[in-house]
Amino acid sequence: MIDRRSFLSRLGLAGSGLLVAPLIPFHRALAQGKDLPHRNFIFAYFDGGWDTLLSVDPRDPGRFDDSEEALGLYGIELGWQAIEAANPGVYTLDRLIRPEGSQIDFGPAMADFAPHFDVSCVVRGLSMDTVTHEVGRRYFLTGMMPVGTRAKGSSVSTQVAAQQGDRAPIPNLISRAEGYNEGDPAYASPMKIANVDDLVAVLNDGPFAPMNNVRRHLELYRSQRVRCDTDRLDRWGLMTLLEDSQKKARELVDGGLGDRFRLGNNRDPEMAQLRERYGYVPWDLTSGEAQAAMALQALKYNTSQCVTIQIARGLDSHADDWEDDHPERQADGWRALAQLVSDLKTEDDPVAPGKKLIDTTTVLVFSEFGRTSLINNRGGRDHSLTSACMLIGAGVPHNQVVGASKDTGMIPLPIDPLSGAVVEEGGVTLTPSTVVASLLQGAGLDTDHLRTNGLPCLMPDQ
Amino acid sequence: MRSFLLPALLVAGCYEAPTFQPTQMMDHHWSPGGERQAEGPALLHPDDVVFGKMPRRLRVDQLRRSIPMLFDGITWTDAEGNDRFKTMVATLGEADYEERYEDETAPSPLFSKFMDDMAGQVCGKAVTRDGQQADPSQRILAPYPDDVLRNLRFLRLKFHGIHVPEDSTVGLLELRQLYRSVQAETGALDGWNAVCIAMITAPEFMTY
Repeated sequence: MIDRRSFLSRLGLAGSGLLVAPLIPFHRALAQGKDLPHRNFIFAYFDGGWDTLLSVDPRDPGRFDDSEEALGLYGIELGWQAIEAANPGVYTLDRLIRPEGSQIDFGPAMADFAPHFDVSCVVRGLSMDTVTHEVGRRYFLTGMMPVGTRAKGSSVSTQVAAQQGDRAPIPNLISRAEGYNEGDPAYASPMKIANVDDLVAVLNDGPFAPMNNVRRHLELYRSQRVRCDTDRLDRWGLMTLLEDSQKKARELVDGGLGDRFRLGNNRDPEMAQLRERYGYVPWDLTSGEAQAAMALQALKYNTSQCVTIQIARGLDSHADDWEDDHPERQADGWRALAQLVSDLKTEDDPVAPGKKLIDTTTVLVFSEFGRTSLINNRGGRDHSLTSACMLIGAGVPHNQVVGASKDTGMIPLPIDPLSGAVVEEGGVTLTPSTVVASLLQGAGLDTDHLRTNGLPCLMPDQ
Repeated sequence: MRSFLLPALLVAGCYEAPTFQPTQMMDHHWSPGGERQAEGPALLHPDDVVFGKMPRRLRVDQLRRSIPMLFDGITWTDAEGNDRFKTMVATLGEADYEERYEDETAPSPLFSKFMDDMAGQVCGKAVTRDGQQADPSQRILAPYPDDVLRNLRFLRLKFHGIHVPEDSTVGLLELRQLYRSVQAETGALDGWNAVCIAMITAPEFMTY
């Protein structure tokens, strides 16, 4: 028995958010039929361009001591004293963080996250090939270098949902970030929300929504309605998309999941505990903490299989806001992520009996680019071509650093694709494309459209 | 596929068969003048070709401006009376030129959900106002007392821009059934409320 969506998809009528390619690429249709491993994805975005020296690509302050000699030798300025001076009594920045058993050195902004070294892999020396916010962000979100500033292809989350199939009510949930669908089925299109309240609103009837007999007869009318203007409206599949969206919206409300996302509801013990753990405030559900809590709930209740969140923002610090605000904003993001990973470690996967969510969930933590290794004459850091990212959870190496940036000027260094170690000659330079390809390939998903293969060093299960 | 669908639609009473007559034929245009060889006619307007632009979903700004015009000033508001088409711009995907540079116009469950909420409120207000309106001709939804089909023709033109002639019921019968079903249970006002919601959440309204 074939359902309506499958039927439409095979006819090529399911279309896409951009209505550009009603025909699903053949290789993806094949991937849908494969026996894929159960895998959730979280994409955690640090908005604005992060200072990797404070977090994922730090340097030992004993060696990089900001002396004239060190600056001349390395071209890397930590500036930690300036941060301490700008935030009296808040920070003591005198060493890297390396918990017992960890193979990873963490910067001071990651103090709360460092205990999760056991499920984490830091990827350093990432060449972003851009210092433009939109381009870097879209490069990571799609795995493909944008055309100008325009995103090329579907978001990674859309690609994942398209290949996995819509096994969750909202396969591709995106909070405060961008998402694209170019040529993938409609069900994989991102549901973009501006805050957690939006999600609650989507999952519940509004106060004036049609109710009772009006609702009942309305839905009957919609289900039996014969289209009158198919030539005019549905030639490109728009009518089908609108009707499918309407049907899906109803299914979401009828699913009764809304209460699981009422993060501000203190009368619900589960929500009160969430709020205590994540530390968000009910009047700002746009915060990274609230979005992290939402991501947990989305996976815990199998509402989504891919969740993209903006876990930190306001990091674009070209002036003295770098010393005033950047460390705290980045640390807030890592703290929220640390709580999320803690919960992924303890919560059962609702779809895979006997497994915790951390066993079935891959987290990609990224920013659009890094910041310069030297502090500029305004006391801030500008955009750098070099960045880093972090992979957490299922299908990625654990307690490992892959790649490196050079100790002189933080230039990306080529690596051996098998071991991930830096090599003197040859090797490959890490880019968002290779990272994304590794994640997809590691989850058994097709990567042909990326035109690059995943790196063995990032795919331990392959 | 098309030849299969057409009879089905005709049976449903929704689709009027096109009166197109393929009379404009021409011979092979490379044929030399004078006595021509029969090489078969070419159809200039094959009926499976539809001319015109690609349909698009309404933008939030278009809804913000058109709903009050269609509903005599009534629009979608929150509890404090603020225009929800303005307070929900981020959620509905309108460009703010800070974080978003292009309007979101892709159909999505989120958009559909909020359009259901919007329709429920706006149509509810319209029905309430109509119920208080002594002069039927001033009513927003049903200006013709006791003539359901005429009201539906009026609404089809008003909301969908589709003129249904007096001697036709194209696209009206299912709406009349919706009206009658609700009206039989909870009265005429609820019936028009249901029809209103159905029409302003229909693809014919949401696209242009």
